[in-house]
Amino acid sequence: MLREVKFSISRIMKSPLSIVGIAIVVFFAAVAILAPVLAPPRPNKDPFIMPRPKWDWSFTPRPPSPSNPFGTIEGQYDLFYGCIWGTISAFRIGFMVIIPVLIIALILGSVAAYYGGIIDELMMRFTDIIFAFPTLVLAIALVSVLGPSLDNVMLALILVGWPGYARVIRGEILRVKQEDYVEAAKAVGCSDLRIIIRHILPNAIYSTVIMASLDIGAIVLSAAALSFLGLGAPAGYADWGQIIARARHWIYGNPADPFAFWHAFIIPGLFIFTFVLGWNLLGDAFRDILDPTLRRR
Amino acid sequence: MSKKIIEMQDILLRFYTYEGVVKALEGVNVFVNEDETLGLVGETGCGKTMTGLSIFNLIPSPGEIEGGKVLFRTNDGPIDLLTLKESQIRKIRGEDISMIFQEPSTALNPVFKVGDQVAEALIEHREKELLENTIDALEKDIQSVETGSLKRRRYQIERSIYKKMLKNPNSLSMKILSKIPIIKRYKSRLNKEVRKEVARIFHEMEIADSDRVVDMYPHELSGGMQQRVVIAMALACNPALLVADEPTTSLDVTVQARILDLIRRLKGRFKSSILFITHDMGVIAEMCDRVAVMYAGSVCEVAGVIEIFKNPIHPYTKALLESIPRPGKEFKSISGMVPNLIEPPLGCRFHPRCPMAMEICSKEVPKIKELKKDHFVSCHLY
Amino acid sequence: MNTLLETLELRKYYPIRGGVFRRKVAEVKAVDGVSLRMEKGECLGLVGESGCGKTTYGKTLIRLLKPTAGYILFDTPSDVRLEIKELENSDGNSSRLKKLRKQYDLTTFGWQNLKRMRRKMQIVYQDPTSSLDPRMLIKDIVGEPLKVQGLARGREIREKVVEMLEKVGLGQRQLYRYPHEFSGGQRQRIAIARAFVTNPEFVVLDEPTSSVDVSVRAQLLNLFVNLGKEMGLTYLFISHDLSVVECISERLAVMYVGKIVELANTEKIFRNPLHPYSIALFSSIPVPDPKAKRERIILKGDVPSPVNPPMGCRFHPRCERAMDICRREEPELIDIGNEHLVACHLIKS
Repeated sequence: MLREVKFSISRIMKSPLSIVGIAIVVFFAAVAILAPVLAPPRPNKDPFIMPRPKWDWSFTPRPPSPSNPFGTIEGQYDLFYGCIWGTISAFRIGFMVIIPVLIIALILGSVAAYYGGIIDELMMRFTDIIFAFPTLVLAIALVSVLGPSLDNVMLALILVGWPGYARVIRGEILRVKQEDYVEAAKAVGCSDLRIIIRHILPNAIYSTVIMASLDIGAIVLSAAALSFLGLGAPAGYADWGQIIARARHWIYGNPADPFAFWHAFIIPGLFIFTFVLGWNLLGDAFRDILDPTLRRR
Repeated sequence: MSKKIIEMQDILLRFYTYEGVVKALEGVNVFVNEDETLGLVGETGCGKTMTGLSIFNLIPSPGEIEGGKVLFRTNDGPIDLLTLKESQIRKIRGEDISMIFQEPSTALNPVFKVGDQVAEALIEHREKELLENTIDALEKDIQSVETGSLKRRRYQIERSIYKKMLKNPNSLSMKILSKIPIIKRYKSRLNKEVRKEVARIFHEMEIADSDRVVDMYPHELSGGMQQRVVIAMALACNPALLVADEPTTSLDVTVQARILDLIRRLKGRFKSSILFITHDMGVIAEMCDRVAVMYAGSVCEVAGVIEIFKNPIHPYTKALLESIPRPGKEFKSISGMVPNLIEPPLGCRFHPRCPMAMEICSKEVPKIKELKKDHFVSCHLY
Repeated sequence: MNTLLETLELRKYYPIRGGVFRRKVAEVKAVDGVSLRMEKGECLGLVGESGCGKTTYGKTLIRLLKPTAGYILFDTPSDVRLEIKELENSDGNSSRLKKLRKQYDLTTFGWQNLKRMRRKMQIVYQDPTSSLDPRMLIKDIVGEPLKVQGLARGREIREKVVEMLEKVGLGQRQLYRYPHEFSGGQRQRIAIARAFVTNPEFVVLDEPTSSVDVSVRAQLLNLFVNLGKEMGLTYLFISHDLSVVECISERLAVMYVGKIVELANTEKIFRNPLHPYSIALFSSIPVPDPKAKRERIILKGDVPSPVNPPMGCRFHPRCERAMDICRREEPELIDIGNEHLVACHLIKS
């Protein structure tokens, strides 16, 4: 077994992109964990609301300065604080969407695959219907009904995100169900539940895990897009999408210097970009290392 | 003195994988005479399929042929197939040498009708002949229709197109013509001719109801029928050499008997030589004139089929023959396992499992020697 | 005459569903009335070509598939079996019959009872790659039957697993490895270890040597013979490789499109096959002797589909000697003397 672990590590080491992916995600995780240290929150206030000086709420963003390492955005919110705490938001959004999605998809996919027949048909048609909805449109509709907030955005993403996974899980379970070793487990006297938990699921979920890690980046992007449209986090909230939304008016700068306010959107944009990239590379790395049989032996 | 159709000299094949370099073929020397069936026998991993593929230079990556020659006899003398460019060897593949694979279901494209797949091979290599036949048929039609009628005019136009095709198949005007929707129907006559030929070939392969089968898809046919279609594809252009890679392993035993029977008869009719790759000694005894035994990437013994069963010399051949289950006798197996070809044993690759291994066996690779007439062995014992 | 396992008219049909409402439109009669007896300690060979139903029979026998009809009597005393047969022939619905069935007939057993039986009946599959869970360690694969059946706990499981691995020629060092780290022959040994670890009485061997090399084949066959003797096992050896079956089984049954056409002592049947299909089958084995004379019987036509087998004798469309009666009536499997059973109208003496 140790050999397998060593083999996995060597595989990762061989692919520089995997190392980059892991490094990025680890970096962001560290930032998220150390956020209270790097950007101390104000006492008695919601740490996710970015701080701004009480006496100065002027519109124009200010470039980086000693007091504001990344500068300020519209309304004088501190960009540095926003980006750091935005990391936590990003992780939160990613995981709080993907985990319920996986759970829903797992239950629906397993039931459909296990029982087959008309239950399978009905569930899959229902899945198809949900699948047909464009994510953003549905999210917009939902949020307009429920009111703009990051939680509602996450809810919308959960509601539209599960069909793809349900299909994949169902397909994988169907594939694994007919393998000889599942039948052999039955021959030995395993109960259905044991077969599902010990044999079918471990073999079926690996592709799902890979999909999920690739998807976290996409989820964060969708949430950012919705925030950009004004449907997500409220003004001043430490969320990268929200921050970029506030830079909408400043992309052109002023006539004298077109890049005067680059910091307002490039810095948070860089954060999003790198975060999503890291997860994508990590997903690829997962694909390479997770499956003991897919490896070239 | 029988002439050699194909001779492989000192073929060296390496696979560059993550785990290391797999030394798949280590100096393989084998030749096939005119009008004979050479059996290539060995266990999984001994390199027999790779030997067959290297004739075609179709080694899958990450494999590389690092050395050796594949001398194929043509009308202009022997040429080394490994030195040919891709375009040159494509002409030879399918026409002079063709291959039958083990799994007919994967050798056939599931989305095309079987007739179309055989037609593909025909059009690629025998286009001239088919065009000439079409033109002849056209001439007859022209004669049978009254002068001046519309039909005759049409036929005459078709004939001129075909004649142009015959002279210059790759010209630009031909390419354009074949794309224009209604005009390209001129090809339907050629297609009919091709179809007739395919049905004829199928009939020769003893496929019942050959006219109907031409329009079927592979999944509609049984395993035996599929394999016959694959054989039809291989023999469509009357190749001088047929490489058959375990063509009956995946078939039932009664179907296997029929296919082997068919191959034997077709060999007589088409006068091809066959390189028959298999692991089944029974099939070897039935089909082959000469036998080459391979182990872990090199040839241990080559002899006539009767000779090799009666007087096997190499210890591996002897062990292989002994391990065939016989009723009433105890099962004799060969101790040990097939070696890992990334780090094969030094010297003779069989020495760790050989009951008669000597010191020299672990140091030096034995050279192949002709011990008796037409009986070659590579072993230090001799 | 100690019968361990007997099937009476065992049938396994698969429904073919069609139409919008998925009604049953036809049935695949994979196993269509097979009555076989397996004596304790013997190896019964079951041969036939692909699609004849031998694998389906083997799996139905140990209740991996649900039988459509028939009896499976495991370790039933001979007087009870006799009684069951008599009752079945006279009055299929008597309450006594029902009671006996509940007690002895595996087709009526519920999940709990079956689980008990599974300890005694096991199977080794043809493809060692797909029959082992690729994500489980060897120690878990071989140890699972013990755990599930409650035959051992904790330390004891490990000890028994090591003992079994050593019996099949592997060792303690293989415990913490995955199946893909082994060669085909070794994986098959692991599959054998898993099947034998619960000390079963009956093992179905479903073409266990078809996917391995010739030299490894001999090793595995030796293993089967030795372990069989040591553990007192009864085998059903399913194969399409006649040369292997000839060497390992004492009796041989030939199957064609869901039915048994001939059954006899192996040596007898090879020397003198009687059913036309058996004759053709045995004549098509390639003999590893270039000088042997080959009188091959080439069968015309193709194997019929089990959905709509021919009327009367299933073999008649391909039989050279088919008579009128063969087209109308299905021949019964009768003993023509010396415990040689044939189902053919031609041979009725």
